[in-house]
Amino acid sequence: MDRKWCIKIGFIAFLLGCWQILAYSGVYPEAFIPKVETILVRWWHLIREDHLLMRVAVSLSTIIVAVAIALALSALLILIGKKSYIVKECLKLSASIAGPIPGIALLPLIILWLGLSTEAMMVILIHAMIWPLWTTLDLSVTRIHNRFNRFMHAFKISRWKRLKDVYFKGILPDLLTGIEVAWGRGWRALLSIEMIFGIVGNHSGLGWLIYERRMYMDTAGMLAGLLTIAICGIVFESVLFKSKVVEVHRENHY
Amino acid sequence: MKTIISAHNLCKSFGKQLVFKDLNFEIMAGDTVAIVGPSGIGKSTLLNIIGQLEVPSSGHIHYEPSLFEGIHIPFPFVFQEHESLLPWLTVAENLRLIQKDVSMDALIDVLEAVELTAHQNKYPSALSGGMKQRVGIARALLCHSKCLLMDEPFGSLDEALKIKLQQLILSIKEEKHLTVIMVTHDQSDIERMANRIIDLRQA
Repeated sequence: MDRKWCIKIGFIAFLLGCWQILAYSGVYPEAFIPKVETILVRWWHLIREDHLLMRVAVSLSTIIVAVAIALALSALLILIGKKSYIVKECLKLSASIAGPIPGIALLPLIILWLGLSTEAMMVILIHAMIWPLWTTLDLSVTRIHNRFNRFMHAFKISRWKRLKDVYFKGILPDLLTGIEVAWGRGWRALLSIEMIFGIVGNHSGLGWLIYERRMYMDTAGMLAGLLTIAICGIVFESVLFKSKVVEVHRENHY
Repeated sequence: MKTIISAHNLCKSFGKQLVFKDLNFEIMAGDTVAIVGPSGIGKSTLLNIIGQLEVPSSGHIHYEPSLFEGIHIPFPFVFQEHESLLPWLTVAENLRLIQKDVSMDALIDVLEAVELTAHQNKYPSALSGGMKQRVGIARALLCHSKCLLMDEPFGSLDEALKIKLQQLILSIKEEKHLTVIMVTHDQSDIERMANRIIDLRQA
């Protein structure tokens, strides 16, 4: 097994061990600090009886759609920014104004304007993702343009090849980094929104599940929800964003 | 010797900043021309103008029509190391990028000319500075043009590598009857390679 994985598993075992010591010490009641086995049993119950996996799927599909829209919008903004200096400057200003505003802070306004709807949820998610994505990608495209513009002109590289072989392949590591950052911000925003929105249409996600468990004073259920978020985080971080292919590609760029 | 490029009263300025003015020169077929002068004097700008990447502010350049006959890229460049190759493509992919339908034989030919046949599947990050520049030369040779433009191609190389690469370029130049125009600020490059000089300090 990979050394990194051994360290990760060892650290998780350490955290679980500390939790168990606290739970078994009897300092706090079971309703506050449930034992690990109680959380796991509750987790299994939520999977079987409470459609936990379906809720994860709802949250994931929402976030995937939002990432796709944010990516498409970022690409569009980069293209427009390249055509017009004024637009580019306005975009930079917008990024510095809107970028630091957490999605949740916009929630009251968005609910006022769009109601408790899927559109409102998407607007907040896209707001959370688009600014870091645009900033990363725009810097990357500019860097590649400055470095290889003369080469592309001198060797009369066609538009399609410029787009595919120079710009797309060139920005790929930054694109993955941008998606990684956007994903993290979007994931946080989504869970917060779900806790407030609850059920939108026929769907309810992971955030609502945690909030729902709170209403029943089901601490083990809340912790089982958080455990699911942690597992999702580890899977995305370790499998999706740090895969061998991505690492090799990054190595060849720098 | 036939004149293939002649410049008449060439001027270039960026806004109010004059780079050079009233520049006149002729380049003959088979010449190795060095464009010299201190940093920031406009050597690369002049090379870009000769290579049709930029237009002069006034004056004009006359090219011998045969430079363009049946040639898609008449003025291939060999750039400085950092802007020379796309790091995310292998050597062979870098070469194929400029000419998609290039045959394997043609590819092997140019790689043999620069002694890099064994490295065609490597990424630039796995090559030394001198090897990267040789790939840059191979890429320029694929264009089958009559001119080779080089913008400080030896800048980042140590002396021994530099001499080896210069010898390689001179031998390829003789073999393929090329005209080489290069930008340099290094006196030793001029002494070893050039037979004509365009000194921008006088422009």
